[in-house]
Amino acid sequence: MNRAHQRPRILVVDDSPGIIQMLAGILRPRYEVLFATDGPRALALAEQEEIDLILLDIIMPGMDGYEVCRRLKVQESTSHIPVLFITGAGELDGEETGLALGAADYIEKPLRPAIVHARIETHLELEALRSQNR
Amino acid sequence: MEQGRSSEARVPTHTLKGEAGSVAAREVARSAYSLEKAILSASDWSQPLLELERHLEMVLDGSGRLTKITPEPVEAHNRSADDPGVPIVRVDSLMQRLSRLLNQNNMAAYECFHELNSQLEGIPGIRGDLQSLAKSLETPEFDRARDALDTLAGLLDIDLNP
Repeated sequence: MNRAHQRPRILVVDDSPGIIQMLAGILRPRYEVLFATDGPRALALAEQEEIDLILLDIIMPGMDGYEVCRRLKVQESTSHIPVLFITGAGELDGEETGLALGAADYIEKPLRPAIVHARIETHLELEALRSQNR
Repeated sequence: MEQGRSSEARVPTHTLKGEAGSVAAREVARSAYSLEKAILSASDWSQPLLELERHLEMVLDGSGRLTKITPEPVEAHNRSADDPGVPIVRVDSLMQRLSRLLNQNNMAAYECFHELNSQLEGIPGIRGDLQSLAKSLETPEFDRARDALDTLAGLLDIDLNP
């Protein structure tokens, strides 16, 4: 986080405004939260806005979460950003696909604030350590 | 003047000429000057008076329309003796910050909006626009919020892209 804003910056990507609102309610006390409701906007924000971590929905109209993740990982400026997929209960079939694409982890719905925070903190710390070694 | 007391009309005509000149109502000032000259020279004043009446009506009608469509300057709102009013520089900087946050789809826009809202509360003529902005933020539909903010900035004569 070598920039003007002090709190980690999380990008929430989901086509559902309700999910975005819910996640924002969980995250805003600790993080700076940006959001996108589609893949292209998410990619643009990831490139422009110095994002520390991305929470990414898989099933979205147009570009799905897998494709967003793939594009993030091939782009040098965004490849380091940890991506955590958000998935519905029992929808973990795609876990292998997501991890193969470079996703750092999964968070399963229903979203529990303690779990969301724990996963995010873990991956922010890991990325901080990685960036020190780069 | 119809009662033959035209000399008494000279002072208000002179005052009208000066006031009209000071607010750039040049035609009113010019015709008031013609009337004043007619009074002083005791010549026929009916034509200059008609002309002044016509120009004055045009100015008053125009200013009435302007008052309806122009928001009152933000600095002019003193809501109480303890409250010195809205500092326009603060409002300007908050609106520009909100604009940047909306462009980022950054949810810090909520806090920024609440601060802006508290600065603008009570100003007539913008309540609906503030409500529309608040609703778009809550939904969250930041494209609409940007449009609402643009409208608000236009009403307050604030440039969001200085």
